[in-house]
Amino acid sequence: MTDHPRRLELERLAMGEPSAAQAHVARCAECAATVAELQQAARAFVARRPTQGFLEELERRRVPWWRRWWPVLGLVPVAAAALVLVLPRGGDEVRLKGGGLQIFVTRGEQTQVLTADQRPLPGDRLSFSYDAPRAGHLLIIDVERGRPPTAFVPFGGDASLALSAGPATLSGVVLDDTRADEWLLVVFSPRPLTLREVTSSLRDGPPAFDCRGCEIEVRTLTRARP
Amino acid sequence: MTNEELTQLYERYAQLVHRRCQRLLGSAADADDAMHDVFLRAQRSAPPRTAGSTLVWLYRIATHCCFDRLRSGARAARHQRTLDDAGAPVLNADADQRALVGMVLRKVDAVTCELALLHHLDGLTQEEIALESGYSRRTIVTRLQRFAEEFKTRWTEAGGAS
Repeated sequence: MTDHPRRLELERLAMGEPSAAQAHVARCAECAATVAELQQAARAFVARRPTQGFLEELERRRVPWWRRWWPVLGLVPVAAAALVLVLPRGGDEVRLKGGGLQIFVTRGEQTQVLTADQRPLPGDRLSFSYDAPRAGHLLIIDVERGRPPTAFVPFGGDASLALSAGPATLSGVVLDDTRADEWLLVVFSPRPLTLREVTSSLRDGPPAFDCRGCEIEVRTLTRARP
Repeated sequence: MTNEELTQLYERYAQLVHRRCQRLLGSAADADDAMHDVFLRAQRSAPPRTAGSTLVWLYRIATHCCFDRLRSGARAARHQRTLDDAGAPVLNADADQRALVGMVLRKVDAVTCELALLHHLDGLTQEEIALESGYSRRTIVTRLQRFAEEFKTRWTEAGGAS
């Protein structure tokens, strides 16, 4: 039997919708197996991503971003003041610092600062706040062994994000289920940067970048392993 | 739509919606994000036009959600490869044709994208698209012609046989 129904009809049938493929599937073992596979895949998907978590995530998305960040934003002036007091200023040399960036990890409804000993899970959302000491350009790049580097801030972008001096809350990214070694390369530059110029010299390992007047930080992102 | 109805919708269709989003966006993480948008939008949308056509209804919403993301400027370059891949089953194309299909999908508007994917990717006839989407036959014919002409033009420009 070679005249099989189109895939969409099999998907409909697997989902319990009326389908023109019903009679065919009843007598075609190959299509019946496809329908069974689709049903199994649907069940497995929901088992991996339980409904409760999905509903909580939807609820979170219904809340305006500024309400979600209200507790964090309340702390930003304090953090900014602390940074002003603590961080040295001036100079044209590359400076390796970590004071400007905070990473938050959201799992379900819980958001907390990502600390060095925490290991995020696939599906966790990472968000960032960056306290720029002066107007400049920020690029946060996800560097992962075996994959091309991608920008987390601005997410998916190919050039740096212009920032005014002061704290900025930056959009997040949902982590996939990679098992590879991973780093975040954070570059704050006095001039605009392209993703290409920063990543062209990167090798397959911990990232490094040389840029006059830039503040550079590398964070290791260690995922939880099953 | 109540939360109970939304739960049923999610448990039944989430995997297929996620797979469609991943096909269009190219990454599991982006597809996760888009899938939530699809169900949020579904909850706010009018129900499917015909009984038993929920899957096509969700696919249409998914197409719009994904193309909204792809068209949001900075991400477009990153996803260029993805749109090329999305065109893979269209016309059962080879690599050159896939690249062209991706290029054409980026050139046309969201409705034309939606109709082209329903027709070429899902195999719906024009009558079925009209029934599922509510677009007039004239609109469907015009948009699919536009897609085909755009493809033909690009194909000829690229040196392919007409």
